[in-house]
Amino acid sequence: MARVGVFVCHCGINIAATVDVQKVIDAVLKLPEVKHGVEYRFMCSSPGQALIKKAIKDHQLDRIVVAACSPRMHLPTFQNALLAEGLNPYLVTMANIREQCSWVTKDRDRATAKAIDLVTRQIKRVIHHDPLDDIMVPIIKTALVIGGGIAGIQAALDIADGEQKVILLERSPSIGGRMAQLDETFPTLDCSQCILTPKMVEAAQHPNIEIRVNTEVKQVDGYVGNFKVAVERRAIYVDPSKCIGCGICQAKCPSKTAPDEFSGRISTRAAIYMPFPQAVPAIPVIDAEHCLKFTRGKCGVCEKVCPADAIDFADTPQQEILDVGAIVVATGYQEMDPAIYTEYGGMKYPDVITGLQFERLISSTGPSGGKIQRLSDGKVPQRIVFVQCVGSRDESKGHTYCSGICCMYTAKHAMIYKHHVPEGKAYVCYIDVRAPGKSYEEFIRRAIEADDVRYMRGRVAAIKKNDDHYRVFTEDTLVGRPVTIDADMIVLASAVEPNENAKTLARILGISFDADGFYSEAHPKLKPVETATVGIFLSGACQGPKDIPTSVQQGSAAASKVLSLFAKKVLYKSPQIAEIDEVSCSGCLLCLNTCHYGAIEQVTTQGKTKARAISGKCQGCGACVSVCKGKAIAFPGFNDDQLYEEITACT
Amino acid sequence: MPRKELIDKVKISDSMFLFQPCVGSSKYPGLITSAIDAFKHLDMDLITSDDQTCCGGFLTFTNVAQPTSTMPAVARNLAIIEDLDLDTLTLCNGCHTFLTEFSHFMKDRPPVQKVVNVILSMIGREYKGTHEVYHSLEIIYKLKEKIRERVVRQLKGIRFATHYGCHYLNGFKNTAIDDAHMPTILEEIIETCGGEIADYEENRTCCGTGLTQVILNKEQLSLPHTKMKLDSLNNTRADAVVVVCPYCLSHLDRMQHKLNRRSIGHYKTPVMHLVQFLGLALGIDVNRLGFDAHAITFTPFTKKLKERGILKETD
Repeated sequence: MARVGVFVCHCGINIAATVDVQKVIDAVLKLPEVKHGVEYRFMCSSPGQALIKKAIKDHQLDRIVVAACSPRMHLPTFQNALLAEGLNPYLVTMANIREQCSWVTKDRDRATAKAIDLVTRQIKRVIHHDPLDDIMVPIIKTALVIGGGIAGIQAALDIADGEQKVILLERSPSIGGRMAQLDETFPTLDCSQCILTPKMVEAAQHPNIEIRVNTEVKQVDGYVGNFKVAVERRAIYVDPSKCIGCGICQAKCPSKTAPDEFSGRISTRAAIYMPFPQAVPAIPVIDAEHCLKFTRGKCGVCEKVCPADAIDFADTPQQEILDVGAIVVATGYQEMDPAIYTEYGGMKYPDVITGLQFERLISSTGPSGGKIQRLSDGKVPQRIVFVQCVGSRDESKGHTYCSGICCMYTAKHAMIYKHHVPEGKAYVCYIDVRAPGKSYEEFIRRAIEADDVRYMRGRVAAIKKNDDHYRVFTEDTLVGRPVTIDADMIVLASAVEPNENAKTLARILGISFDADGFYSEAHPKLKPVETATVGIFLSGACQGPKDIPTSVQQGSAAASKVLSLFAKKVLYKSPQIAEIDEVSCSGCLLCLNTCHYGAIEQVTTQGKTKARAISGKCQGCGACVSVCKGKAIAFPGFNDDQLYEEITACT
Repeated sequence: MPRKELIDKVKISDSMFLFQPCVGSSKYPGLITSAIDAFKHLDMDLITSDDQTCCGGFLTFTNVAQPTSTMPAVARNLAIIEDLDLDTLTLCNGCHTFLTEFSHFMKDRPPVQKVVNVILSMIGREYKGTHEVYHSLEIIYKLKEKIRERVVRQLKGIRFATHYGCHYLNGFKNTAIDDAHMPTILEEIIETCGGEIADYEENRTCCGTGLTQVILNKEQLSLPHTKMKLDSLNNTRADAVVVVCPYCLSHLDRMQHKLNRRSIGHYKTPVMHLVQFLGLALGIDVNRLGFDAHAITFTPFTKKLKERGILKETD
C-alpha cells in the first residue's frame, strides 16, 4: 500500500483564517493510506520544504499531497523537494485550497468541509500516480531570425555575439527595414542611417550571421530545438557570387518607371535596382514586372554593361530546408493606406501624403535630395498641416488602438520642416499628445516652444482641394470653435498596422495573433517576447506598434531567450503529453482537427490511416484525449484511474 | 470610390414603379416626363399610380410628425407597389432615404412590421417587404454602358457641375452605392454622355434646404449657407448643375433667383435633375424636359448647345 504524506499550508492567514487546517489534518489521517499529516504556516518556505523532506525520510513516504495554492504557482517547488529526497517528482500533487476554497468564501465550516474534500480527492488520485521520466530532446544550435529590420538585426547580433549561429532572413533585397527609410530619429534628431548602417555592416560581416535576402518562409515543421523551416528565395536574375555592387546596371537601365516602394511610391526607380545606396548586401535585383527583357523580350542592357558578368536571366526561385533550434519573428509593420479616408481626399490629391512619404521627402537620400517640395509643382510649401490619428483610435474607418509612434514622429516632422523652411508655418491637428518615453514630452515642448509649431486639439473633418492649395476643416476644442486652415501640403500620420501577410505567416509558424492581427505574446506582462509555441520568440513591431528604442530592447530580449535556450545541452520536456495507441486508433482523425499545436500527424500503418502524436510539438493540453471516442490516447498523469478516483472521492 | 458589392446587388428589370416626388411633380413637372421618356429609350417602362401619396419624409424631417405615424404611410405606398409586383425607382433623395430606411427598419424588426400591418389591415392592405427601392441615380449608373451606346446628343465641351445632395450618400449609408466623401458615380454618368466636369470646392456642401430646415428657421441659417455654395459654383463657371434630388434642384434654382432679386449677387447657373440631363443626352424633345419651369433660365445654355450643334435650331 502506498504511504501518503499530507502537508497543509496556512499561507499566513490566507488559508488558515477561513479553513480549520487542524481539522483537515485530523480528517485525512483517518484514511488508511495516509501515514503522516502536518500543517505549517508557509509550506513553500525553506523550513516548510525541509518539513516535507524530513517526513519522507522519517515515515518512508512515497506519495505526497500538498494542500496550498495553485499548482501553477508552486508545484515545481515541491517537485524539487521530492527530487532532493530521491523520489520521482511526478508523485506529488497539490490540492488548491486557497483560490478554490478559502479566498471565495467566509463560511469557515463549509470551507473546511470543502478543503477536506479537495485534499481527499488528491490523496485518492496520487495513489494511482506512476513515476514518470522527463523526455530528453536535442537542440540544433542555430537560430532563425525572420525580418531584417532593426529588431531582427539587434536580435541576430546579440545571438551571434553569444557565439551561436544565426540565419537572418529578409523578404526585400536589403536588410534595414523601416528604420532605413527614416531621415532623423526622435527625440535626439540623430541621423537614422548613420546609426543603422554600422549595425547592418556588422551583421553582414559577423562570422556567425548568415544573411539571406529576397527570401520568405514557406513552411515550418518540428518543435523547439528541432525546427525544419522551408524557405524560398525568389528569382532575382543577378548572381550574388559574381556581382560587385558597382551600380552601372542600375544607372544604364532604360526602364525607369517602376514605382519605388522604398520611397512610399512617390518616385520611380529602375527595373534593376538596389533599394537604397547603403543596401546590405549591395547586390541589385531585377524586378521582372518592369524589366523590358521580360515584358517585351528584348533589351538586356544590364547584361551588356555588367563588368562582372553577373546578370542571369535564367534564374529561378530556390527552395531550401533550414534546420534551426529557435525562431525569432521580427517581421515589423506596414503603414496603413489612408485611401479609405475619402474626407481627406482618399490619397487622390498629390500634396496629401503619409508620414513615411514625408520622411523620404525630407531625407537627403530621398527623391528630392532632402529638399522639402510639393509633389504637384515642386514649390516649397509655406504652410503644412500635420493630421494625427489617421487610422488610429478610429473605430469607424481605421483601428481602435493607438499607433504609439505618430505623436513623436509628427513633432519631429514639424520640427525638421521648420528647420528647413523657417518662415513657413506648421500646424499639428491632434486628439491627445501621447509622449510617455524618456525625453519625449520635452521633445514635444521643444517643437511647440523653440520651433513655433502650432498645436491644435481637434480631429480634422475634411480636406478640400481649391485650385492649387488645400483647405483643412478642423476644430480647436480647447477654445471650442471651428477652424479652417489653408495649406500647401498635408501630412497624414497614418496608422501602424500588421503586415499584409502577417496572418499567413502566423499560420505557417503556428503562433497566435490578436484581433488587430499583431502577434500575441505568451503573457502580456511576464512573457513579453515568448509566443504560445515554445521556441518561437517575438521582436519588434510585429507584436504591436513600437518605436526604435523599444524594438531594440525587444530584439535583445528575444536574443537572450534564444541564448538561454541554447545554453542547455539538451532539452527536457514534461512527460505529460499525449501518446496514441496505434492498435486502438480507428483513424477518425478527430484529434488531428482538435489539436491547436499541430502536434498530431496522419500516418498510414499497414494500409490503415492512423493518428500519431508528435512528442516534440505536444504541449500537454489534453484536448485530443477528450475527443478520442476509442480511448486510444493515453495521457500520463491524467489517466482514467487517476481521474475516476479523484471524482468518486467527492462526497 | 463606388462600392462595387452594392452596385452588383442593384436589380434591373423591364419595368419599375416611378415614385413621384411632391416637389418634382408640382414645381418641376419636367422631371416626370423626362424620366418616363428617358427610361423608355433604355427599354424600361416606368409605371405610376394615382394611389401613391407623399413619402411622408417631409413631415418627419421637419419634426411635424413622429416616425411612428409616418411609417404606416410608407408601408401603404410600398404595399401598393408590391401589389403591382414592381421594384421602386425614386427621383428624390428624401423619398429614397425615407422608403429604404423605413422598409429596412420594418424588415429587420418583425414586431414593428406586424404592428404596421395591423394598421394597414384597416384599409385592406399588407406590407410584405418583398421588393426593393432604388434611386434613379443607381439605376442610371448601372445602365451606364447601355447609355454610352444610345447617346444621341454628345455633350462635348459642355461643363457640368455636380451636386449629390446630403440625403442620398449621407442618408441611409447602408445602401448608398458610393462613398459619402468622394463620390464619382454622377461624374462618371456625365462623362459617359460626353460632358465635362466642372469641379468646385463646395461640391459636397448641403444645398441649404435640408439640415438647416429652411421652412422652420426661415432663412437665417439657410441663405448664407446657400450663398457660400453658389459663390463657389459661380467661380467654376459651369454651364449647368446636375442634381439628383428635386429638393436640391428647387432650392439651388429658386435661391439664385431670390438672391438676384435682393441684389445680393448675380447668379445664373441653370440647375437640372439627372433624369433631365439623361433625357437631353438621349435626344428627348427639349420641350418635354420642362426647362421652362425653372426659375433660372436655360436660354444661354440651349443657345450654347445650338451653337455647338448639339441641339438643332428647330429643337
